[in-house]
Amino acid sequence: MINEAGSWLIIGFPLASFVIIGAVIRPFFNRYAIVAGYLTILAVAISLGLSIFAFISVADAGGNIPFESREWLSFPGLVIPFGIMMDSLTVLMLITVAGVSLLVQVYGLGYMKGDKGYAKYFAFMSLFTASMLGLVLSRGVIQLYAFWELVGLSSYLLIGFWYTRPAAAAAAKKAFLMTRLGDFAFLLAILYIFTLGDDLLDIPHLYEAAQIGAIGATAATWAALGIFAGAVGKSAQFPLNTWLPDAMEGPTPVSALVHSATMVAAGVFLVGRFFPLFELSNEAMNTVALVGGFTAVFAASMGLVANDIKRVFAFSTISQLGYMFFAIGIGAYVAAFFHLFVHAWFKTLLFMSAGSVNHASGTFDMRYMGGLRKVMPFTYATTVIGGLSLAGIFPFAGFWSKDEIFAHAAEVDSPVGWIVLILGLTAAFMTAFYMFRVIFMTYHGKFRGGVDKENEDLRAAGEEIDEAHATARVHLAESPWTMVMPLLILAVAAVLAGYLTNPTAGYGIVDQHSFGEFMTENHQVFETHEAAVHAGAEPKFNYGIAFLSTLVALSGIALAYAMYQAKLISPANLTARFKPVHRILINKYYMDELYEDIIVRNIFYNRFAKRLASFDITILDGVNVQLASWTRRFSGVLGFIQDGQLQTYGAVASAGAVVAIVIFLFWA
Amino acid sequence: MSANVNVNLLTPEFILAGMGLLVLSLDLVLPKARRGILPWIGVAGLIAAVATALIYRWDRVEELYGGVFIADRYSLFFFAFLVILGGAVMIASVDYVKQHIKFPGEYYGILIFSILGMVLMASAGELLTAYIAMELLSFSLYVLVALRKYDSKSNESAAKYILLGAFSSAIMLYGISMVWGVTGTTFYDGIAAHLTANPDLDIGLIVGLSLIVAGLGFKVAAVPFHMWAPDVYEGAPTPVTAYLAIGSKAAAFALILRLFSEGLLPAIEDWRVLIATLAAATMVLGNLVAIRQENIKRMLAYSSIGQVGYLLLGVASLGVVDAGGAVVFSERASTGIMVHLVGYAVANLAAFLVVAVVYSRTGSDQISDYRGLAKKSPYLSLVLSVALFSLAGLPFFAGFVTKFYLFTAGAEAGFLWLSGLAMVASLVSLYYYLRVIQRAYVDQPSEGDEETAVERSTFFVPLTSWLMLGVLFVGMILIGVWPTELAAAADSASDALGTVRDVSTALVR
Amino acid sequence: MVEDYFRQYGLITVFAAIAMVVPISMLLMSWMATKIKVRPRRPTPVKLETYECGYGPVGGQWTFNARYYTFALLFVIFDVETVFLYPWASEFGVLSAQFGVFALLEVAVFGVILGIGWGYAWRKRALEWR
Repeated sequence: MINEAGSWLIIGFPLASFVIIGAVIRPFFNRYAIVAGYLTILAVAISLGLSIFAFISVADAGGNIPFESREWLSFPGLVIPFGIMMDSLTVLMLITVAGVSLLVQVYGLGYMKGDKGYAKYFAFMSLFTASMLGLVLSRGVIQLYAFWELVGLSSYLLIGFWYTRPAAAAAAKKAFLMTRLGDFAFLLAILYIFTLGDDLLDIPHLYEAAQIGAIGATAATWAALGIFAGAVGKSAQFPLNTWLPDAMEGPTPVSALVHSATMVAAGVFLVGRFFPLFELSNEAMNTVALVGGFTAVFAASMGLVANDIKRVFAFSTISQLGYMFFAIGIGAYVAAFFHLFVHAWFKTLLFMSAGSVNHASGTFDMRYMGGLRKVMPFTYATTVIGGLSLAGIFPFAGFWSKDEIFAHAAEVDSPVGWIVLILGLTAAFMTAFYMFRVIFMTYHGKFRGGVDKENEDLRAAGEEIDEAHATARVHLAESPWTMVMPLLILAVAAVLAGYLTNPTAGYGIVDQHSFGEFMTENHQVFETHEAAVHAGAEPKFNYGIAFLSTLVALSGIALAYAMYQAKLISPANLTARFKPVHRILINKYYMDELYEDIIVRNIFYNRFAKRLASFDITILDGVNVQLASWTRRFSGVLGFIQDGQLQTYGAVASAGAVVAIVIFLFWA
Repeated sequence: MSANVNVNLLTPEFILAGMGLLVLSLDLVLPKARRGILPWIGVAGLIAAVATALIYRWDRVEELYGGVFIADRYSLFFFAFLVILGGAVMIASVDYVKQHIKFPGEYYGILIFSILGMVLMASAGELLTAYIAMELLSFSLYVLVALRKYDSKSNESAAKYILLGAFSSAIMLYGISMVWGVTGTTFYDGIAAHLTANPDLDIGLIVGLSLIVAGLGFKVAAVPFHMWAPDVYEGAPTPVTAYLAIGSKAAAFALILRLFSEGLLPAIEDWRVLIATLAAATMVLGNLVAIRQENIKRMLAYSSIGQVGYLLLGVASLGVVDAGGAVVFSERASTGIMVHLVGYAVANLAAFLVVAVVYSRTGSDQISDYRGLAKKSPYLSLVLSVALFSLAGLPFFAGFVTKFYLFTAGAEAGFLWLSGLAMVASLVSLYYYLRVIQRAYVDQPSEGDEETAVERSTFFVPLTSWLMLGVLFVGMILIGVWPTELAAAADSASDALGTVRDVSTALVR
Repeated sequence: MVEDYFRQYGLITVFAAIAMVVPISMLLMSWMATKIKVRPRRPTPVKLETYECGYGPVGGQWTFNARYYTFALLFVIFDVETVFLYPWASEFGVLSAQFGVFALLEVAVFGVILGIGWGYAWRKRALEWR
């Protein structure tokens, strides 16, 4: 049985690795930066080992090991608790995070080779892994929030890792600020929860209060919506979705770990962590479901036309996270987390394959790829496995998890269930299409010249060639083994992970329903058997739905085949016919323009901030002509106030004093 | 005057005054080359004063001159905080003064006098004493702001500061006279007694209190009394700017906190809306206008105006009305203000110190000249980033804990909307802080790597500044991760505010 | 309370009104006396000068040397501070009966502070006419 110290060590090892790399290796031994990579891998491997140990312990202990709640800060009337939360949700996340992180670090060893910031990269990766593990282990709400921000900070550092590229720097800032927008609501919700009761900042206490009905439905709605807003920001759901595609400016392993498998999934984890609170409020649950369902389709539609392979996967990630949210919104807790778990493996696989392809072609633009299946057979095979899994084809992992969600949605007895089911199936069709569009464009057909050709075209178009393109080379060969091996491991996971849900029968060592039962064992979250069953302790399987979703996915694949492989339908003609739609999609529904140009630049910055700034300097000059001219004469006498602004300051202050008196009089 | 006046109680203050005089007169006799020792004498004196105060007043609750001067845990907390802060500013300015200021004796001597003014502001139990202490601080600051005598910017800002400062003092004095006219007393507890006995406020009292609020608003640079701040901050020598932004504000809040909790608390229902309005206006305007600043000192000036908004939120939440309709002093709010003051002071001082060091090397305060700072000096940009993140309130840095604590107090007192607004304002502040950090880290210093290498070798940070930055850096992290001790100290100080002092007050007021 | 408050200002208003009415009416009476030829009016250039009994201004304006300012300031400071000594001296008997030697020491401290100020001014050459 894992003890508390051991649980802290799960965070401790990557953190130590961060400190050692940052404080010792990078300043003094930067020549031996490769050591940083090995150290990170070692630390994460130990964390993974401890996580597996924790998993076994939790399974033995019936879904929850209660550890002590400790005092972090104690102010009068406010004790901010911290501690370790060790339940089934935690260990599931632990294994996902540590496992994916380990593979990504191994992969990064090869991918980042020769980069100037090798040690820095691994330092940030260690920091990210530590804070992500800390996030899932948090028991106190404030502790959780602190790690939540730390995850955001390390994501900021990693997106902006190649900070000499302006696009990367801008993307990092955008990501940081947009997620903070959601975090603000999250923090407000925390404050609100705190006003509901002093001890609710300890999550088990919050569960208790939710179960005995100490929190009213309205209060729960507001608190849950605030928390959900935080999740929307971090998981890039509509309407805070625009930062994730830009975040692809970071190194590919970062995209694989941070922006597909772990950090962006933290939003789902957050909703799961506060699930008892969400359950108190129908409104909150429906909001989660509808936002998730809408985002699933919305993001997938943008993925249909994107040409950058990583961006396609970014849209796909947003869309798949949407699935998780709508699952949790209709109460399918187990299905949501099963999908999170499975998605982590196959999406990491896909991102890594994108990185591998980039290694060979030097570009991420699929229009300059093609035919790569011959030179990189391993990458090709694993990508196809990952793609089939993402598309939800039997018997790959994605099929099981997605089907579970659909089966749940079909059983929900409300319009919301039907709406999300339809949205989900639509998204499934699009997913299958864009996934196989990627496969056909990248691996099939003829090689279209890679980065060399791209640079040529850019030059011809008179555009500048940035640093990333200028240094890239075409190098048609399979990637080094450090990159291929993680792909193979992940491919195995992408095939097998699905069977853990085993809705119909047990498979050898895994009993029937074991995953669902494990996830819902924790009686702090699911106090009754009915609640557990409702949340998916006994997975549902519906042959009708399974057939339907497979059919939808297959037709998506077929369309992709017809367009990009068999050339039965010309993509160019299609684009021309649906030109307005295509333009909207390729411009990502103009959301960037809406946010940045219109709201931020025009309304906020130019109108609001500028006006305020000028108000601060000049506006009262006009009003107080008399006073101004009088004082200007006065200042002429004094001779040293050249700008004539002092009188404005005095006038504003006097007016302020009068206003203060008026306000006071009015309220007294 | 009664015979039992225990003048010994004032020993720490006497030490401060003596040190000020000593430094001033040593400056007269020491040869020019030896004047580098002056700040260290001053620092030694400050340490002696703090040590004396801590030892001598640890468990004392006493009043001098019938309540004019109060020695309790609250005074002690601020004594320690403000003197240490003053000492930190003194150490932080060593390098700057050496380079840019021709009058080291005056600089350090007057700095010590201003510290005396600050600690008296925290201990004053009466309006006029508080006013005089505040004037001692203000007069010292007028001189300090003007110390770069041959710099026209410094002169301009000093002139503005003096004129508007005098204006605000006059306003405040008029307010005090109105309050005295209505209540017949200037003692805080006397005012409280009057307010309790007469729940309906007299119009003269309302005008008087509003004017006092306006006068204090000037000192802390709350909107709309803030307009002097950016100009003065920009023109003043950078360490003085730091001192203005941190020390004088902290001292003014020490005064405000005691006045509002010991004197005006019974009428909180009447004035809390006014303070909340000021708080809202201050945090919104300060943070929005900061976005457009190109000069880092001006930006920090506006950001510190924003911080005042958060602190005013705490002041508005100083009392909670319980079920029976009685006003209960909210220790959480007052502790929150104190803790936030400390966290803000540490972070802001670090930021300003970096600005001072960079100015000494590049001669510029423009944000655009922070381009590539990370390449030139990784240490400086690390400290700057942490300081700015702390000011923005990111977790694990001081700002998060202190802000969170302050905002919970606001939420508890029924100002959830204001706490929400404060969080939006913090979000906005992150935006302009990131601009600086992005300049420092992302942008290239200049064309060509060779040049960078040269710059880096000459871009050294003087030892004193280096060590001071290290201390502040550790402080920011420490407060962010383990603020319990600080909170406990602030809490015991709040206790002193919340309880009625049990001392014999022989005099009739 | 509020009425009382305004009544007090009312008294001031009445007082101010009287203070204005009296001189204005006097000037008015004088003017009317001229009109009805009771008061003779025979202006001469000498009579119309600003300073009828003094010298007329000679030459242009002249500036003060700024050094006078420093001296005046120093004078005022030390002059005013010595004023504090007077009440102390007149009450010294009572004070020393109550506080003993402390009453003397306190003034010694005051003297030292003054002395430092004087030494400062001297050292900074504020007392030299440069």
